[in-house]
Amino acid sequence: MSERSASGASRPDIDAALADEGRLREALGWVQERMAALRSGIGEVIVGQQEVVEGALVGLFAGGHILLEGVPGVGKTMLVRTLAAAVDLEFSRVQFTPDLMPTDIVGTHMLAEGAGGRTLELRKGPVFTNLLLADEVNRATPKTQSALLEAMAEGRVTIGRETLSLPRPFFVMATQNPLEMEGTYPLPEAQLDRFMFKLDVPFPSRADLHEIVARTVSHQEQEVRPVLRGDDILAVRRLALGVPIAHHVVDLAIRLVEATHGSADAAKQYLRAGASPRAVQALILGAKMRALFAGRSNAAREDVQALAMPVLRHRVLLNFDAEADGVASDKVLAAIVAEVGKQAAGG
Amino acid sequence: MALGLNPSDSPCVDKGEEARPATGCRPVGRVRREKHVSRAATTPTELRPNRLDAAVSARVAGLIRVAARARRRIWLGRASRRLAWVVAPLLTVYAVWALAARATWLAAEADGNVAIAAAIGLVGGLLWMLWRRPGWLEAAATLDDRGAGGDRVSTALDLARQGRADPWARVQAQEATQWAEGLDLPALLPMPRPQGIGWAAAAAALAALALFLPQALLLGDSLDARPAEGLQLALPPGHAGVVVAAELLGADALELLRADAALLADVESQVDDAPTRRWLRDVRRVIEDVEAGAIDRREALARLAELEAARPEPPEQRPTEGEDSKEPTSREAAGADERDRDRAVKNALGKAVEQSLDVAPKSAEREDLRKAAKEGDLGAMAKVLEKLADRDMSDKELEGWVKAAEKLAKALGVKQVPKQFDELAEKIRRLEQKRREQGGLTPMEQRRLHNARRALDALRREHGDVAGAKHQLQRLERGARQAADEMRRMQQERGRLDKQRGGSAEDQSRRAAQRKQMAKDIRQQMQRAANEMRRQGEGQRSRQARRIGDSRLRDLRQALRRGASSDKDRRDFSKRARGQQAQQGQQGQQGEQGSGEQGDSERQAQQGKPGEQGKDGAQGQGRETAEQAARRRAAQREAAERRQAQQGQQGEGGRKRPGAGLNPTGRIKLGAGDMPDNSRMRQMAGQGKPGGAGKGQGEGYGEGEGGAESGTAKRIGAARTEKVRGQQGDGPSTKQVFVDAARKGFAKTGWRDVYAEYSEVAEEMLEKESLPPGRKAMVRRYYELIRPRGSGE
Repeated sequence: MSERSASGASRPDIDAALADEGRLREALGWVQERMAALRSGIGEVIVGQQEVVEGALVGLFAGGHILLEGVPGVGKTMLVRTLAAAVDLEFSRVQFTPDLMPTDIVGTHMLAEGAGGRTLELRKGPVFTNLLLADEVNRATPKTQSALLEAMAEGRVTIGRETLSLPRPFFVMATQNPLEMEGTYPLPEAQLDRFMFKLDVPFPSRADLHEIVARTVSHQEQEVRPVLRGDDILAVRRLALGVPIAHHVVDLAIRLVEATHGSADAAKQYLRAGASPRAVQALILGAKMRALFAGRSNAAREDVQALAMPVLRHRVLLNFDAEADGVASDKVLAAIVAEVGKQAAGG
Repeated sequence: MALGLNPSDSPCVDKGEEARPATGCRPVGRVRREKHVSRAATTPTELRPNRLDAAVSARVAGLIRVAARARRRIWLGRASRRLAWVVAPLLTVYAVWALAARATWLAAEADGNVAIAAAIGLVGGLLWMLWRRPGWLEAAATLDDRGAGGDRVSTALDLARQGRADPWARVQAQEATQWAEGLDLPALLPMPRPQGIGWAAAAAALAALALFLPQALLLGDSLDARPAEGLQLALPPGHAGVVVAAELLGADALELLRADAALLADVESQVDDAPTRRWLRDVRRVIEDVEAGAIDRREALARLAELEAARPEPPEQRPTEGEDSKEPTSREAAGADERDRDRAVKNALGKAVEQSLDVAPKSAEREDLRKAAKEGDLGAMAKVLEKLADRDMSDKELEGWVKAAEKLAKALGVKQVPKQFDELAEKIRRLEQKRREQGGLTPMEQRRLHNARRALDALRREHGDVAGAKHQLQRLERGARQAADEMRRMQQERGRLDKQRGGSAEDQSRRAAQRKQMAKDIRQQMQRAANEMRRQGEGQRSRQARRIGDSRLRDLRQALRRGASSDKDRRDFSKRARGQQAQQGQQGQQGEQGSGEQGDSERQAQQGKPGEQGKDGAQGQGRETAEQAARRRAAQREAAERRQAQQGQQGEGGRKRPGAGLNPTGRIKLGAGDMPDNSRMRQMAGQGKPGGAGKGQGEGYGEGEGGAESGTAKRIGAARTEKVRGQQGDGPSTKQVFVDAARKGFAKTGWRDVYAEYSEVAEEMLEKESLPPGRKAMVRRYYELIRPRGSGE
C-alpha cells in the first residue's frame, strides 16, 4: 500500500519494503527520486552550500538537530526556511536574545476571558512546530537555552504541570555567529551534544555571490514547492535504519570516537575531552542516511569519514595548547581522521 | 537440507546476537557447524555456499572469486614490496662473506656457519615476505578502496559472513556483484614497485665487487709481508711447491721452517747418538720437504706421525747387552720435566764429584774435573776421566783416586731428595685433597697452598727434578759403587802383593806384572766410569736434541693442520703486534738500532756496536749506517766461520738465522743470528753464547768481530766508557725493565724467581690462544733464550 507524498508521487509502504526485496528496490528508487527533487527544489533557492544542504538533509531525515555556525548573511535562516518549505513542515523562528525567557520558547498558561469566566489557557510557544529555527542561540541565557534541552532530547516539553509532546518530526536548527561573541552565552557541552551535526556555513564563492545577486535582487520570486511531507521523512528515516553496514565500517566510527579520547597523537596534543558515545550513533545513523541518499544499499567508510567533522567538531574540547597555538577543532579532527583511516587501512 | 529464500530458513551463522532477531535466521547447532568446518576449502567457512541463503550464495559466489583474486594480488604485492628488503641484507651478507673468504679473514671452518646463517636468513626473509596473508574482508575492503566501491564488496561479504539473508542483504549483494563485474583487478591492484630497490642494487654492487675485486687488493699488506722474492731466491725458479707451501703455511711459517731445518742440521751434526741423529735427520728432511713443497699436507702429517712413533729412547735408557732397562722411559721422557731431571742429575753428580775430589791427589786432572763438575758438564768430566785412565799413576795417586771413587759412590748414595721436597709435596697433596673433599679452601689455606707450590717450584728450579731423576741417580750410584768396590779390591790385592816379599825373581817379576795389571784394571774402571758419564752426557744431549726435534715436529704439525686458515690468525696477531709496536713509540726504531755489551772474553773483547749514540742512550744503543751494518755482518760471519773451523763446535752467532750449537763442553746452546730482512722477525731478541769462553748478548746480531786477515778478533771501536744521562721522567716502564733485562742477562735472583711463573703463564696462554704456529715457536724460543743462567746451567 502506498501513500501520496506532497508532490503527488506515491510513497511505497516501508514495512512491506523491509520484508520484500522487490518492494525494497521500489522504496529505494522512490527515495532516490524524492531526494533528487528535494535537492533540486532547495537548489533553486539556496545557491551553493551543497555540503551544508546535504548535512542539513541528513540531519533532518535522521532526526537529529543541527547547529549552524556562520557569519551573518550567508543564508542560514534562508536555508532553514527553504528546508521547511521543501518538506512541507511547520516552521517557527525564534530570535534568541539575552532577555528571552524559557516561556517565550515553550509557552505558558495565560488568563483568558471566556464564557465561563477567566480561565488559565495554555499558550503554546514557538517550539511546538516541526522545524524550529533558533537564531543566534548563544545570545540567550543558559536558562533559556536549557529550555530547549528537553524539547531536543525527548521531543516533549513540560509547561506547568502539563507535559506535551512535540509534533513529529521535530527538528531544531540553531545558528551561531562566531564573530560577535561579546554578550553571548556559549552553549554548554551537554547541550551541544544534543546537536547531531554542527555545520559550518562558509562564505559563498564569487560565482555563488553572482548567482545570489541575480536571484535575489530582481523581480523574480523564488518559491519552493513542497516535495515531501513530514510523514515521508519518518518513512525514509525508518527505511534508513535498515541500511546494512559492515563491521569494519562500524569499527571505523568507533575508532574515530576513541581517537578523540587520546589514542590519536593529535588528540593527545590538543584535545581536553573527546566525543561521547552519542557521536558513534550519530556517525552510524548519518552514514546510513547518507548512503541511502547516495543510492547505495550499504553504508561505507567514506560516509563515516565524510560525517566525522560535522559530528565531532562540537563534541570535542580543545585544550590550552590548541588555544595557544591557534589550532581549530577541524584541524585536529582532520589529523585524527587521517590517522585513524591509515590505521584502519593497515590493519 | 535445501535452504529456502525465507529468511527464517536461512542458517544463523553469525555469533553476534544482534544479527539473529534482525534477520530471523535459524540458529545452527554446534554439530552442524562443526561438520561444515571440517570441510576444508579455500573459501572461508562462513562463506561456503551451503551455509548461505541460496540467493545470497549465488550472488556472493562471484564476489568471493573476485575477493580471492584481490587477496592473492595483495599478498603477492606485499611480498614483492618486501623483496628488496630481503634481498639487500642477504646480498650484503654474501658480499661480506665473499670478501672475508677471499681475503682469508675467515677460517675455512667458518664457511659452514656462514652457510647456515645465510640459509636461516633466507628462510626468515621468505617467511617475512609472505607473512600475514590478508584476510578476505581486508582484501575486499582494499578492493573497495581502490575501486571507489563504497564498501560494497566488503559489506556484501560481511553480511554473508553474518548469514544475513534479508532483503537488504540480497539487494546489497546484488548491487555489489554488479559493481564487481566490471572491475579490472590488475588496474586496481597493480603489483607494487618493490621498496628499497636502491639498497638492493647497492648490495648487488657490493656483492659483485666482492666477487671480482682483485685478490691482491684484498690481501693487502699480508701479501706484501710474504717474502716472495726470498722464496724465489731460495728455491729454483718456477718451483711449484713454493707456491703451494706459501699458500699453505704463509711466509712467516716458511721462514721459520727454513730456520728450523738449519737448526736441526746443526744439532744433528753435534749429537753422537746414532739413532737420535738419524731421527733428527728424518725430521729435518720432512721439514725441508714441506718447505720446498715437495710433499703435500697429508703426506707430511703421515710422516710426522711415523717420526713421532719412531722417536728413539735416550742412550742410557736403552737396554745394553745383558742389561734390562727397568726404568720407565716413555712416560718420563716427555715434556719439560726431562730438562729438570737432567739438571738434577747434573747437579747431584757435579756436587758428588766436587766432594770426592777433596781426597783426590792434586793434579791438573783434578782441577779440570772440579771445573767440569762445577759446570755440571758430564762430557767434560768424562774426557778428564779418560785422560786420567790413560795416564800412569803412582801408587799414591792411585790410592787417592780410589779413595775419591769411594767417596763419590758414597756421595751419590746420599739421599738426593731434600727433605723439603717431601714435606712440601705432602703439604700440597693434603691441601688439594681437602679442597676436593670440601669443595674449597679457606683463604688462609689457599694462601698456604700457593706458598707451598711456589716453594716447591723454587726447590725444583734450584735442584732440578730430583725425585724424577731418582732412577738415574740410583743407577749412577750403583755404577760408581761397583767401580769403587772393584778399584778398592784391586788396590787391596796390590797391597797384598806388595807385602809378599822374597821369592824368586820370577815370582817378583810376576807380582810386579800383576800389580801393573791391577793398576791398569783400576784405570779401566775409571775408563768405565768415564764411559758411563759420557753416556749420561750423551743422553742428556740426545734428549735435548729430541726436545728440539719434538718442538719442531709439533709446530710443523700445527702449521699443517691449521693450513691456510691460520692466515687470518697470523694477520690478526701481526696487527695486534703492530699495534703494540705503535704504542711502544720509539721502540719501533730498535730494528735499526743495536745494542751491545762488552764481551767477557779476552779473545773477544770488543765494543758492542759502533755508531752514534741513540736517543735514550741509557742502554748504549747506537745507530749505525747501512755500510757499517754490512761491514759488521760480514765480519761476524767471518768470525763465526773461523771459530767453527778452529773449534768445530760453536753457535751460529754470525749466521742469518737463529740457531743452536754445541759449545766445546758439549752443551747445546741456542744462539741467534742476524734475522732475515723482515721487520717483524727482526724484532726478536736474540742471544748467543757460542764460544766456551766468549759470551755476549745482542739484539739479534750475535757478537764478535773476526779479523779476516789476522784470524784473531779485533776491535772495531775503541772500548770507552760513555756516561749518558738518563731522561727525567717517571722511570722505566715494566716493558723497559724486561727489555733491559733481556740485554743484560737474566742471572739475577729476582728474575730466577719469576721466570718459572712467567714461562708457565706464557705456555698456558700459548695453549689457550689461537696463535699461528710460527708465533708460538717464537714465544717458546724467546722463553728458552731468557732462561735464568748462572749457577743453574
